[in-house]
Amino acid sequence: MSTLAIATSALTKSYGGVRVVDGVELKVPEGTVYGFLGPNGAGKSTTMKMVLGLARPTAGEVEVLGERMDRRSRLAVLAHVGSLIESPSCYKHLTARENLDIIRRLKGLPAESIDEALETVGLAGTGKKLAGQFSLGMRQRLGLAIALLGNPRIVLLDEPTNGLDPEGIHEMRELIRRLPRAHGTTVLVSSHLLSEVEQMADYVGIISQGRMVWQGALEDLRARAQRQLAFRTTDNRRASALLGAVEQDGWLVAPFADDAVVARSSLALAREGIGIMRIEERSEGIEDIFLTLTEERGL
Amino acid sequence: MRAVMLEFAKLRRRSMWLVCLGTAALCVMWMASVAGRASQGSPDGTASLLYMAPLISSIVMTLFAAIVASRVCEVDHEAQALKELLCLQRAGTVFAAKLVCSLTLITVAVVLETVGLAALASYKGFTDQVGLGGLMTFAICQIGPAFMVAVLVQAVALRWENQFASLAVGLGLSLAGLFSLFFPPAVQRLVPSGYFGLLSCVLMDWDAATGTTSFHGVPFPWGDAALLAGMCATLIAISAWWFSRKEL
Repeated sequence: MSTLAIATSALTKSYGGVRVVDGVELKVPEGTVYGFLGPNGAGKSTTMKMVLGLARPTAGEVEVLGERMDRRSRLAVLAHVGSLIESPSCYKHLTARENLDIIRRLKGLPAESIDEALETVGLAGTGKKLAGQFSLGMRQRLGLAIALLGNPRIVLLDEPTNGLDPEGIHEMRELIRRLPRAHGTTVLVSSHLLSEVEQMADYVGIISQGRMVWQGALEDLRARAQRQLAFRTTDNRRASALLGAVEQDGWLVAPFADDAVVARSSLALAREGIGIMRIEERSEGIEDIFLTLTEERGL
Repeated sequence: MRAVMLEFAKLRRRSMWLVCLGTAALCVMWMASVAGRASQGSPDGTASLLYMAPLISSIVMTLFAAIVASRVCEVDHEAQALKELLCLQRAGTVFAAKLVCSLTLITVAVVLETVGLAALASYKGFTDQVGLGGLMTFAICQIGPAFMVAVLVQAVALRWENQFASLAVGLGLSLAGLFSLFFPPAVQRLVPSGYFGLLSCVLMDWDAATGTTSFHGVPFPWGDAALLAGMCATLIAISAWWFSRKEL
């Protein structure tokens, strides 16, 4: 992995003796989109809040951009971080521009940065419309504009597509994908939807019941997908002995093999008078891997 | 200073200055009804106004301070903005900025009330006019207890997102302040809004035999002022510490 934008070690959070985050070792490479995946209540938001210093870890440490986060360094480090945690923050009695102006002044950014952020999320034409009159999707975009204001080096987005229509989801996904290329931004985006993360992330971390169950490049996760061959024969019992395959639901399942091996196997079965009714190539999808990983934790 | 300006920016379109003006106007109108009973050119008309003003303030200014403190906190709760702000500002800075914002609004309302009192006294031609020093002392004695109420309500408003709790505290303090004025000073000292009466520099004597009232000035009650300042400082320290420990 390249330089880490965010790294946690043994990060733990307990509420009333219950560990909601348990020894998480998050490793987010710089300049990538990292999909933080897990079922609802797995501990994604709590982990992100601890990265931002909004919740105090019971144990463990957080490093952002190589700096250890503590009470002293926290604000200096977070000056390079934008975030959208849970629901978007917006003052409903203010316009989008006025909302952004509050954050802009806090960050000490030039006034033009507001136009850039509004343009990026497609809210440039909202004029004097108050945020209270915005749809949920527009408010979500405003929250994203706040997170992106001033092009921070890291952006943390907690379920950013919540409340968006399919077109909005597509736009949000494209925008997130563009960020590392356009500004070198590192994006940590959480979701409970594998399909969503699969379409935008370079790296994936899967959290279940507070524990990180898998972490690495999305390609590596895909590579874990197992390919198998499934046979249905006229005599599965004898065929399983011949092929060394396992019988499952009326099928014989064997490890994937190339065409020559399949040809030899079919001839061997024919010699024994066993007819082949069907041969299928099966592959375990990334979703199956995700389910296996999360189910192993008892979900 | 930037943090305080931002607090005011967040209150845009919340009509806080109008509430401020309305509060001062209500106090002045109440005092005008008192002044109306005094004769033109009365020798103790101003003293009667200075005596009545703390009673009026214990009700009106207490409620105003509670509304201001509650609004200043509610605006961030409603926007769910604290999780954003606390990534960019220290919790102590946010806390202090909110208090300064409330103090500024309270000060403006009290100054307007004080100007109204002086204008009333002048219009009625009362002969016991007080100078700028006297008016400033009066204003400070109104600002102090109102600020204490704001500190208390802010502590509640930051603790509970539902602003019913903070407004209930404000309403309770308003009534408690009024009733405490009819109790001995020892009881008044237990109620933040009771300090409107304790810090009053004018007392009234009533002669049962003749049925007449007279007013006389008393030295500035330094002891009660110090006690109020001490309570204020303690409450600020506790609630600021708690707020800095708050997890979102």
